[in-house]
Amino acid sequence: MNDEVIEVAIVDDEEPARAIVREFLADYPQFAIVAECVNGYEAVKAVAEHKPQLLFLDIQMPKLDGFEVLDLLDAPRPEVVFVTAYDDYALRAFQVHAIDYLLKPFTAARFAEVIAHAEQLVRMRAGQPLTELTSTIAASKKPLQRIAFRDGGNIEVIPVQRIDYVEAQDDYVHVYSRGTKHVKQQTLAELERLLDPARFVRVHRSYIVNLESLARVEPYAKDSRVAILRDGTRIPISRAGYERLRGLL
Amino acid sequence: MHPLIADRKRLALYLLGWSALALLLALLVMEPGRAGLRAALLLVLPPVLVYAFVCLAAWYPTRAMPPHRARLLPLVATHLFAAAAMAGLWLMLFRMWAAALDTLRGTAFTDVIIRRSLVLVVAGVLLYLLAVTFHYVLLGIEREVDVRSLAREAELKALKAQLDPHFLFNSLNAISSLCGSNPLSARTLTTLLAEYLRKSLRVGSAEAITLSEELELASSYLAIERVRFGPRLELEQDIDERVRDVRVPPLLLQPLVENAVTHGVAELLEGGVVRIEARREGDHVRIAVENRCDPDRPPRQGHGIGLDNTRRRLGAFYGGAAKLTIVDENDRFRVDLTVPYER
Repeated sequence: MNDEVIEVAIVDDEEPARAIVREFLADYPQFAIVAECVNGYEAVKAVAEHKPQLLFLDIQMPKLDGFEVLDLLDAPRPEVVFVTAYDDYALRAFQVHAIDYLLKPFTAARFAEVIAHAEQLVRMRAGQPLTELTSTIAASKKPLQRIAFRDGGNIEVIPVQRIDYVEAQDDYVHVYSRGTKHVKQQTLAELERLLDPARFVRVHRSYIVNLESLARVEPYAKDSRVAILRDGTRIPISRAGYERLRGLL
Repeated sequence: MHPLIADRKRLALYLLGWSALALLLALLVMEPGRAGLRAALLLVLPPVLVYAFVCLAAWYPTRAMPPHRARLLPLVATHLFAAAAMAGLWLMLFRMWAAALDTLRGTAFTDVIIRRSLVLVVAGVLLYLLAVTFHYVLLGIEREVDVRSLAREAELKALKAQLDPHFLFNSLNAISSLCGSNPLSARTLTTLLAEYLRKSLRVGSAEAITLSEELELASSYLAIERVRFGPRLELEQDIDERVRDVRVPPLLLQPLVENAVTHGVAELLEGGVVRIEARREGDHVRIAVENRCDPDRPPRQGHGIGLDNTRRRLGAFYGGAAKLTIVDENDRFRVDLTVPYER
């Protein structure tokens, strides 16, 4: 069982960066490259299609960065080695249980270390996925700037300023943007924590509203209010939600 | 706030200068055989010192109309008009002070003032114009200091920019990987990187370089980035031959080109073009750096601070004769620099 080939995907938007992983990996016949991806979209598709056990993943990529890619992968997701020129993501990488963090440029010796570690972990964990974090995006400190959704093979990335409101549905959030609904597995509380609190307000246990999309607030029945969005959508406001809203307006 | 009011020592020196003028004026208004120098000084010194403060107001019009930017006629007219108004005020000051002295000490200064009105008004106008000149000199010194400190700052920034660790690390990684697959390209890239570093170090300490040199530097930078990005990064240059010798502050375009790559083309899946354009427009040169960018990008991030710096450098170097405008369209970002056509 232990001599089975480990399938690998390399994800980097820069060809020279993919080339060196490819070259170094050629010395390890127990690894086989099943996909090379030039951006995050391709990576998500390739992982769904080839189900590699190991990903060499760049972080800084257009539209969909390495962390966002991880967030979109189905469980059990492959083991990950981040490959990046930036050392400022090391903590986040650790929080999403990456095997290792390769800083560009790296030596063959350093690569050998990573490979040994990766092989060991992949073989050990084969078939028993590690307990996933709720979201790999959650480890970020800065407010979220975009959200990536995946519906089967279809990936959509929406800048947060285009979100109108978010509704909680059990373990999922429904994110409404310009009349279109996007679904993501995430709790509303978590998403609330990630969004810029100066722009997004939790107006109700089940709703977050983008202040930019808010047209007005109207009284509704006794003691309760309703938010009217620019597109006419009506969203209930709880008493606590109204306090939060008032604090911002 | 006026620099003289902020600094007591300088203010004292300034008032000392005015006291000397007061002495001169006292000698002028003194009528032989009637009042002594002491009496004349008593009459002249306080209004002159008050006027010294009034003349500090010249700070505002001189700042609003720096000599290299304002047209001569409106400039002269404005200051003459202000001078006339100030002289009127100055005469009134004398009248009031003389009247006060007359009632308090029984002197007959009011008559003296009335008789010497013309001399006083002329003196008032001239003194105010002197103050204007003085303020222009101040402005010039300040600008000089500004230009120097900004140049030094730019030099430091340039040094930092050359050594942008990510740019270096990424380039080194590209070299390292090319060593295996394509040693010839690895060698080329090493040379490009060395050339870029050498050039930017050299020009970083110069006060001004030619646009041609600056464009070369930008091209080296882009050539290096192109090894990493491959066909995703396309370059276009459209340079008017007549503007190649124009003097610009060194590394003026560097942050713009860097932004165009990192905030523009690098954020696009399919990449895009970075276009540099320079053409002569009358007595100006317009330099544009344009790039494609992601229409979904978060509203203006990194761009802001870098462009502010560029704007300040333009101000320090050309003193208001240059300007920077931003065209921020859906999928296009362009920075236009308009600088005087000076060689």
